[in-house]
Amino acid sequence: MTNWLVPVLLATPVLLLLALGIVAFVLRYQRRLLRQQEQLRQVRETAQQQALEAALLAQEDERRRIAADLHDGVGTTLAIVKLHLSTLGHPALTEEASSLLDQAITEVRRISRNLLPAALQKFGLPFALDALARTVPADGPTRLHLEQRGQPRRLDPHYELIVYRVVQELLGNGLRHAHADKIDIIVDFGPDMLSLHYTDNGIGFDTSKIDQQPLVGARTGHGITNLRSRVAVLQGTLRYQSEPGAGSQAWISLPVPYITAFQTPALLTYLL
Amino acid sequence: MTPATIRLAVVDDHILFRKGLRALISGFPGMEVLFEAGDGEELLHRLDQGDLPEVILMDLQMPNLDGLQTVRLLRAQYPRIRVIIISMHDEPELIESLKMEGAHGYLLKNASPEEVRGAIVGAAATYESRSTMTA
Repeated sequence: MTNWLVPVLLATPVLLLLALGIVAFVLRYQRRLLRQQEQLRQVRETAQQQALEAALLAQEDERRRIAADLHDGVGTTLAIVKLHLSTLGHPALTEEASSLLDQAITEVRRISRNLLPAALQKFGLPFALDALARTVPADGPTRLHLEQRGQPRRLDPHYELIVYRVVQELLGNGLRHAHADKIDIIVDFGPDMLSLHYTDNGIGFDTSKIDQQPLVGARTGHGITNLRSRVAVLQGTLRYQSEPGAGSQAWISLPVPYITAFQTPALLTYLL
Repeated sequence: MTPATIRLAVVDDHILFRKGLRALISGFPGMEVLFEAGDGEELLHRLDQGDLPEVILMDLQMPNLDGLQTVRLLRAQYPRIRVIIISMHDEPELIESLKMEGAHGYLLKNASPEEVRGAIVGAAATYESRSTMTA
């Protein structure tokens, strides 16, 4: 009887040890797998963030180039043509051509200002936002009320450009698609947070349709994608609410110190 | 003694614009373009040589030394010379701040010949009153 009990007694602790070892191994393996997955996710996120930044930079660079070419190249050439016309000394004959040239110059100015607002570079965000608000005619179909709260101040130039684009995008979407007669935009310059609140009383949109297309670069027709990627670059948050026929609202908050404290210097020197 | 003709300098990096402006100004009675310069640096160089106009017509965007920097330098070194900025930009904030910086007039590049003449005459008037005051 004891003969067969001896190996069992001997084998049990060995088997137990083996089982424990296997459990420990599996646990460790799983933990490593999780850690790797987490690392991979972080790498992907960083890559996505970098791709976003790069795309945004390329876009702004292109805009600046086109704006400069238009303004300084085409605009100046048109001004030269007008100058030469006026030196001909026949105002009666050249009047019509001159006024057409004036129209063309005004148009060039408007386009290049939309592409790159000179006021933003020289006078900063609060100034440029007021200038942007003034481009909406007071007697037009949509009345805009833009209010700056908190401590309106200059931010990092590149941050300013992105915030400006966000407001421009919100306003542009509202004017183009909302068919609203009233748009309110509040820009709140907090101590370490910049918040935007957009409200219109227009036709609204179906938010579920927008949410179905979260891919960067997809056209949603409401520019939400553009907004989302700009906000993402600044690691801010975007929330919107709308219903067909009930107007739209959007809340955006952007952490102000992010750019000044953590943004890579390469980005800073590149954008301006 | 105040000079009978208003002497001017035209500063712009676009040669064709400079020439066009010069041709326009030469058509106005009582005005003479003393010299042209391609940027602020060239202008200051000419001024340092003793070619002193009463009024300078200057672009804002120029290589080396741009319009704004040149206005600041002129204000310090040649405060008697009147400066009229002639630019493509029409932002009111920009125009206001340039006047704060020391520009005496502002013209858009597509201004009419009358506007150009008016701005020059206006700026030259303040030059003469200043020079008779200090004389």
